[in-house]
Parts: sequence; structure tokens; C-alpha cells
Amino acid sequence: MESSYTENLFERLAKNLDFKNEKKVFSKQFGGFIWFVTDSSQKVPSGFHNSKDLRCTGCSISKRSRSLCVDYLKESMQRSQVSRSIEKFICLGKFHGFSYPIVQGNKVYGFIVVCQLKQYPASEMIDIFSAFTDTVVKEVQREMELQKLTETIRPRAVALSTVHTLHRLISSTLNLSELLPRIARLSLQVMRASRCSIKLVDSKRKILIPKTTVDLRKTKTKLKKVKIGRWAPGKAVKFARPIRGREYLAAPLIDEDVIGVITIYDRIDKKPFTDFDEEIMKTFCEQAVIAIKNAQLFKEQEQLTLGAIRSIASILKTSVQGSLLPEQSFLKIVNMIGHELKMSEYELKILQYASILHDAGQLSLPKEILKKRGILTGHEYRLMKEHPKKGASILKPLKPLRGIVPIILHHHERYDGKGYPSGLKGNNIPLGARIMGVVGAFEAMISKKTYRRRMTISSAVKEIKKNSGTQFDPKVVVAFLDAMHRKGVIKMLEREIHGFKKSNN
Amino acid sequence: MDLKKAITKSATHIEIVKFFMENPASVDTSRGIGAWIKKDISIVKKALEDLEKAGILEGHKVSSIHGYGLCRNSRTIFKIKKILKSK
Repeated sequence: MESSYTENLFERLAKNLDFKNEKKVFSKQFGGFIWFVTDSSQKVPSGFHNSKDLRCTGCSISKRSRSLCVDYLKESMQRSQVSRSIEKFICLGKFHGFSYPIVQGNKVYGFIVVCQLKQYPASEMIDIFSAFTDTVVKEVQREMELQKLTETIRPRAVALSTVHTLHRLISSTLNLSELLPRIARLSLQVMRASRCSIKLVDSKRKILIPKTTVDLRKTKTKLKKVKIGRWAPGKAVKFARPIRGREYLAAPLIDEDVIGVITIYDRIDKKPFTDFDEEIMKTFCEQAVIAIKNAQLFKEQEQLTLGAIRSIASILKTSVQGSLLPEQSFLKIVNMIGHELKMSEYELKILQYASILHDAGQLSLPKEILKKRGILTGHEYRLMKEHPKKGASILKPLKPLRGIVPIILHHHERYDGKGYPSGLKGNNIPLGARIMGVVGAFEAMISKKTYRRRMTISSAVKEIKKNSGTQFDPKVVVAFLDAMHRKGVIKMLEREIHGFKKSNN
Repeated sequence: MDLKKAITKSATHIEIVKFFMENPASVDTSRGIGAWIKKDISIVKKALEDLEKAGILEGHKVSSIHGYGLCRNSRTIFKIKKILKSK
């Protein structure tokens, strides 16, 4: 380590422009002189090619004088080593010189030896030389320290930035089926491996259920359930610590308890997994487990919301006669229209919820109106027109269902502005409400009402078409017709209506 | 686009590839990589897109963030090393 530091120091000194200039400047001041730069073992370092060894041209007259000269230099350097300051010498009784130690802390790394001076320079000049050299050497040493610091810190900073990016990438979804493959792909990316599998714990059965695998190899491995305690993933879960072999690394996903395991196999460079890999994987698992837990919580909350929606819907079904269109068909048609109109996943979900609950406001109407055979009176019709507002006010307090409120509130608006409750026109009506308007009307037409007979599907479709641009948004009608023309949709509706007819009878 | 053309398209392209070869486990955004190689983010973004298209980098895109990492094909990595060495 130390010899490489010394080599590096002298290499940098040899390249340092200030150091080269120093020689030029002081040559003028001192008169022509020769200088050597040596390391502490008294070898001339690379980069100082003009000083092949410890001798100067003035001493090359004979072997004897050369050897004497080297002795003077060595003796001067030894004195510098001890005193850590400039030491003078006289070579062969006629030449003057001095050695300057290159010091850092307690260590002498080498010497600058100046010789063949006709007379010893004035002490002021020596001080200036000393101060200048000291500055240059210290600057080079600082540069080296800075580089060392950068070399140490940079990879850690890059790793930190990677962890931050990974965190952002995996926490941007709450959809578990999207999240797990993403975690697997990122594990492979970071660990430079070929295969990754994520297994989650089924605590009742004490097994690990494979949830996702990403395999870059040509021959893929089948997903297998693993007993807790068996193989690397099972052991990692059992002992709640990473299990590492030459070609695999299984890291547990630990929340309060172990919830699963990420196992990576086969580094692409064929090297074994290291302690460092284990550390990175542990950090990554800490990030992943938070994202997985969030997604699981979100899923639970969603199921809770859906449960609430289904409860309200079943109350609605028993209270309100005429909502006979099977929910599944209705939802499918709504979904197809939403897709056709390029709604986002969230908007589609909200639309689905709104489809189930669009007539929730009817719960607040007197039963006599809902069950009335024949045409409603003016007063009853006015009350009936209140149901979108009532539905919105029933659902408004439920925070997860807030998105559906505008759809429910405006699903009886008309495209030409003649609808209710607000008389909104055209695109001022929320898209979800425009879709609901079409599908809701279609549902009402093909459902058996107490005051009229059920229409056939084809007549209802014709009616929708006829009212495109007046009652309904033409874009939504086009998407609706497209959905109705899809293979199996009419058959599905007929089959389900027929089933309902039977059960009603 | 062949690998050599993609890597040597500009100094930024070369520096990005060098960065990923030095830090193969890194996954970072255009902003992050711009900071590491001290280049303007818009230039880096364009270069990253080029390198992803050429199969040198792998993109990890979600709605809010686009992360980039070095590809994991060992043959491609070997070729990249060779190209950088010849530069």
C-alpha cells in the first residue's frame, strides 16, 4: 500500500508543472545545478528519467570519485531523514549541495537532492526554495488525498443513489401483481444475476408460495412451492437471515415477521456472490418489504371498499325493482367502453364502482314510488329526479368512493343539456357520467319495469343510436356500439337476462 | 444501430457507458447520471434513450420515473469493453 502511495506521489511530482517551473527558476538563482529526486529507499523514481541513479555528471570522472559522491549524498539524506529538514553537504571538497526531505506526518517519503552548486546559497534563498517545494509537495499530497476520498466515497454515493432510485421505482405502484415482477427485475439488474424468484410465506401451511420469477436463461426453471426450512429460500425464511452459496443468494423479506424471500441465482460474470452483494440485497429487501406491505394493505383496503359497495348494491337490488341487468355483463360493457375511450386503470376502477352504485340514491325514495305500477305523477317524478343528488350525498362521506360521486351525481345529464340535476351540456358532463348515461339507459330499456315491458336488446341498441348527439355523447355511443358488436357480448346478455327472467318468474 | 456507433455518437454517450461499466450495479435516473458525469440533463436524457435503443442500457420505466441500468447480456458487455478499450 505504502510503496504504491510513494510511487503515486513521485509520479504526480514528476508531472507537476509547478515542480518543473521550480527547477527552472532556482537554476537561475543558484547557478546551474543538478537535482535528484529519490524515494526513501534511494532509488530514482520513474518520471525522473534524467536522474538514472544517485550520481551527478560532476562526479563521473572516475569510479572512485563517483563512489565518494554517492557516499556524500547518502550521508546527507540520512541526516535529513533524522532532522526532517534541509541538510547541507560538500561534495569532493569543491561542490556544495543539500538534501530536502519530502515529509508527510511522521514519514519521509523521499528526498530532493540539489548538488554541484559552486557555492552554498544564501539562507533566505534556501528558505524560499524550501517554502516553494513544501507548497508543491503539499498540494500534490492534498490532491492524492482528495482522489483517495473520491475513490472511497463515489462508489458509496453511486450505491446510495441506486438505492434511492430503486425505492422510487418500487414504491410507485400499489398493485402487487405489478410490483413483484418489478422487484425481481430490479434485483437482477442490481445483482447482475440471471434468475430471480420471489416467494411469499403462507404461514398456515408453512410453505413458500412462488409469486414471480424472472429468468434470463434459455432453459427456464419451473416455479415450485418450498417448505420453510428447506433449500436456500426456505432456510433464509426459517433463520431470518440471508443464505448464500456460490451461485445463489436468498434474502428474507422481514417486516415484523418474515413475509417472504427474494432468491437470486447465477451472476452473469459467473463470479460467486460476496459479502457486499449480501449487504446490497439486505438493503434492497428492506425497501422491497415496505413496498410489498403497502401493496398488501392497499389490496386489503380495496377489498374492504368493494365489500362495502357490494353490500350497498345488494340492499339496492332488494329495494329497487327493475335493476335486472346482470351486474357482470353491465360491468363488462362499461369496462369495454372505458378502455375504448382510453381511460386510466384508476378511472376504470372508479367507473366500475359507479356502475354498481349508480342508482344508490333510489334507496332514499319512498317504496311506493319504487314499486308503483304505471306512470309516475309529476310530484313522484320530481322526487325520482332527486335520486342522483341523494346517491351522491349517501356516498360522499365514504372517502375511498369519493371519485364516483360526480359520476353518480351527473349520470342523468343529457348531452344536449336537457338532463338533470344540473343541466350540464356536452363535455361539461364528466366522461364517467356520460358513459353511465348510455349504459344506464340501455340497462333500463332491457330491464323489466313495473310500468312497461322489457325491450329487446336490438331495439334498445337502436334507441341508443337514435339518441346519439341529443341525449347521449356520440363518442360514447360509438364506443358502446363497438362493445355490443364484440363477439359474445349479445349472447352473454341474452343468456344472463334469460336466467334472471327464469329466477324472477 | 450498431454498438460502436451508439457508444461513440458523442462524448456524453461515451461517458455514460464508461460510468455504467465502472458501476455495473447502478440504476439511476437521467438527473442522477447527469450529476455523476457532470453533463446537462437534457443532453444526458437523449443519450440515455439512444443507448437504451441500442441495447446497451436497460430501462426501468414507471409512470413517475425512468431508471437506467447496464444491460445484462454478457456478450454485449464484452463488446462494450472492447469498444471502450479501443477508444
